[in-house]
Amino acid sequence: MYIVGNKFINLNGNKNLVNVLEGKIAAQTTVSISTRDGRIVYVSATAYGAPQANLTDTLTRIIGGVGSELDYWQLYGDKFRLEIIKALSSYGYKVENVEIAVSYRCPNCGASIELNPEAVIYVCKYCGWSGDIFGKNLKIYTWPTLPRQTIEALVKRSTGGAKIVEADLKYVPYWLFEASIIVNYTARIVYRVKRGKKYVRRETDVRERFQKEIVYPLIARLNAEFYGDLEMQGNVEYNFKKKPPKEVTSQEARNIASYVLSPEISRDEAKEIIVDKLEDVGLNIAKERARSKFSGAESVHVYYYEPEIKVSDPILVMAPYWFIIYKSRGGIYSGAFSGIEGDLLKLEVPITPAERLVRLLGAWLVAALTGLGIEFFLDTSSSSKESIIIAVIGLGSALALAKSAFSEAKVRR
Amino acid sequence: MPIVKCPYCGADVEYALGEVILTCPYCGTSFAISGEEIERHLMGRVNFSINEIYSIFKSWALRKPETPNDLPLKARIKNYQLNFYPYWVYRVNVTFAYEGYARNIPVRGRENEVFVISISANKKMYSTPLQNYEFSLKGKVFFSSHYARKTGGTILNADILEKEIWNNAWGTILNRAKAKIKTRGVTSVTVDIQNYNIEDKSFVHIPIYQATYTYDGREYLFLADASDARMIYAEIPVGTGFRMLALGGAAASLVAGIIVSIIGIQANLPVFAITSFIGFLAIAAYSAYKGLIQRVVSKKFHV
Repeated sequence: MYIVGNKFINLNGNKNLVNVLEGKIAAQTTVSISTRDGRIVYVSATAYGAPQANLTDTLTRIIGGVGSELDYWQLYGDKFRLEIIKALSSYGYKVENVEIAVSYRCPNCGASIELNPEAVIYVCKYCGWSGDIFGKNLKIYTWPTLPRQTIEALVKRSTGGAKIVEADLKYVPYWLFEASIIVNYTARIVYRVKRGKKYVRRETDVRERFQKEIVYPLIARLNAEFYGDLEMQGNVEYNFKKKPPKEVTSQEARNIASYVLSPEISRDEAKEIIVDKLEDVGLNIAKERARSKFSGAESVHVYYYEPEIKVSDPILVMAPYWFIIYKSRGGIYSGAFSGIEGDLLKLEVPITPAERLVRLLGAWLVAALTGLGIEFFLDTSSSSKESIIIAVIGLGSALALAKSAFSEAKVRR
Repeated sequence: MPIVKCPYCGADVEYALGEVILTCPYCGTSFAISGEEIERHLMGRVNFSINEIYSIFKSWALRKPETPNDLPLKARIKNYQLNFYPYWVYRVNVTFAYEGYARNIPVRGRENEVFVISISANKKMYSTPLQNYEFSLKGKVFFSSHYARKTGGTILNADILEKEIWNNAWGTILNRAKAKIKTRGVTSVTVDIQNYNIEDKSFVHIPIYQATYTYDGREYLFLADASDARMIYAEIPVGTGFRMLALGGAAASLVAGIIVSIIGIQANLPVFAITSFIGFLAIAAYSAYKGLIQRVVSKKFHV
């Protein structure tokens, strides 16, 4: 058993790894290279074994030569490491192992930047340069966040003075598109109208063409789920129209760099994704428009749908987002606030035992009233179909209330 | 154990019977048992330690009402494993024709779509949350056995034949194509794939923590992606206080239901008695269910 960092590693008799852990460092070097796929990186290498003359220079030359013929992803593979050992051997050097680490090189100040392999754009925390992993400069836009004290005061006001455990600021990256959606669609609408004393079901087609101009913030992260994500997206869209974000200076970029979630979706990828997203948006708008034409619409079936999407070149916006954890009544709850104007995005509010009891009693009341309703309805009408509908709706509501008595927390938006 | 030579470095690679794609522990090359090298063998990096994952898990678990408040103090990681699970990931450009009904109007059309599909490649992953796990190829790097070993991880080989893998992928493509048309309100959808092109195929190992922790003498499990901290599966203990509250609610609902139905019968309101009793019974059953379960299972996670 060995300890590496805070982990125990069972080496299972692996002599090679034992040598690495126990061996001496023979040479160390850091080489700046441009990979075959155009990324500017540092490759740091440590050779283990006995010290040998000029080993560091040879190691540097080999990494520069072999590394620049590979794509970025290949630098992490075993084959790169083994190629280096093989090349050293061909020059007469014997090493027990070589360890490789890869980081990006800021094209402006030369600093070593460690990023997860998913990142495609970053902000240098040393000089404030912002751009993509290929070294191409990229303008970023942001809104300055409200200060921490203001956000904490807003949390206190929203939670009735609860104790804040954590208030974590992140700048969430969005590709902001201005788009035009032109849609031709035909939908079948099923709706109800009153004929005499009864309602009857009717069907008809709606065929139309519409155009809609929208602003769409597309999150530039692979796993887009976070607490209050939809609300934050809406907040960015709202503020973009009301108070457009400003281009960030190097000084400002340096100040926010530590809080920025590195974008993981490039501009070109965003342009591909946005088309699918806007097709869905167009479909939903079509359904809503069709539904709004008939007040008693029950269902909408779009059976012809042809969208045409036109999008602008997007800008990259870093939106300040605050994730809050607070304590209240012995429980821990979450909240999310926008740092742009301090809007509450989403807040979990504890449900007290008394409230849970009230909800349970409410469920009882609804169950009893449903029974009474059906009893009296059957007295006055011969239709059993309506009675069944009342029973399903009433008992369903009673069960929903009972479920809410055991739910996590109330959510305020 | 039987042995086969790695086609890249010539090292002896041990394998278990049934395994069809192996990974060389020395050079990281993946190859079929028949000897062909797998062209693109990728892996997810371990970006989160088990301590970081466990910390994220606990603060999230505390936000559930069932979770006992002393969970962070009393829960202890008993053991954990880091396994690199094998998946095939296909990027397929598909042209499909569909038929269905919008209400009673026959609908037909033709669509083109690119699907990215991950298919589990080891039978042990079947019927587990890992079977249908979806992830992006973004950030996946060339495979390194050396790195996997340094993280303390175990690499699982693939034991499912490529034909079966492709059959599973085909089924997933059909389901996704149908789902796309169904979102428009079209029902009874049938799909016929007219043309397809596999644009990319990668063999990927995803690092996943499988951790067991103890609380009040019982064991609970969670699975998390070590690359992006997504929780794939989590069991959380239910606090005694919450369970008692729910069981109390169940008993009270049952008693109240009986009383209300007796009143109904005495007042000669039989439909009221039966209907409301059913309602009270449903409430009691749900409350009892919440009171009797000792652990809740979640597959949905917010960091």
